[in-house]
Amino acid sequence: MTRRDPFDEIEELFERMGREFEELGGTLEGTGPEVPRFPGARDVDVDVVEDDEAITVVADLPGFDADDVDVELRDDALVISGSREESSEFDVAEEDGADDPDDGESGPAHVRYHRRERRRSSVSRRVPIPEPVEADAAAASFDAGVLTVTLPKRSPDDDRGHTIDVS
Amino acid sequence: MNTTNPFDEIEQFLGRTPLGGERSRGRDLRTADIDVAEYADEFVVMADLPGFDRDEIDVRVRDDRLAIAAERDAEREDADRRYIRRERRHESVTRTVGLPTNARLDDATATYRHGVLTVTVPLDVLDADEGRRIDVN
Repeated sequence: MTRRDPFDEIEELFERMGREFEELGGTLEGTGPEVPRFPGARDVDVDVVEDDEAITVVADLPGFDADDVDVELRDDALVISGSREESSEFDVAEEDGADDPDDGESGPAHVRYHRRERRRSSVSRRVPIPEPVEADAAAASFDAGVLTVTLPKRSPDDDRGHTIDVS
Repeated sequence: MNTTNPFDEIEQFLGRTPLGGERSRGRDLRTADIDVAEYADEFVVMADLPGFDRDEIDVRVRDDRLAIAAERDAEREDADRRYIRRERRHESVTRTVGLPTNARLDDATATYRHGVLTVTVPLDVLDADEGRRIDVN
């Protein structure tokens, strides 16, 4: 096993903290009135994976259709949002309504919810992207409630215009 | 304009769950989020299982409990592939739900669509006037 330089690790830790705070700052700004936020609730679970060529963001959006999902690269963050109609089977108001104050409807009491943990209607998440990426070459796919967005990295020297290979 | 309480955001950042309860995200990574609804004639369980294949999901009834299990291979991290953020549930997820005594277990059906498993179990309708009929042998 290779021994790592402890200073590298500390640097990496600071970098990571920076990213976390960046995200915190991002959420403190608010995501706009169209996106309701539930305190303490993280709407969308994401994995962000980096390799040499690309940064890949994988987001769980169970129960959404590809048409319901919106992905946007805004500045240096990927904004993922999903919205859907309440599923017809579950749009009947729950019996007591106590644990979901947002659901103001009242309906027939012939359904009794034993549990309601799944998120409904709209969700959103802002994921900071730590490196410059080629926005035009981004690709997204959606399968079994999982969104995968691949963002090819931009090499630092082609920040402006093309790189011309010198042979 | 911005109605978000910054303290909630900080708590969220620190991984605490100010609201607690089932809505919170500070949950066990090995269970699935579920809705359980009981109607007059059926019992419906919906479980969020994003990213599984149908054949990775196992649904069974044992002793009046519905057991949902989903398992997949772990995604590996190596020198070329580094996780910057890792929040999604991985590998195996399980959850069990008690079923009512009038559930017709043999007639249960399950579907998996858009990462959501829906199990529907018909219920024997208990007529208040007649009570539950017991066959005499």
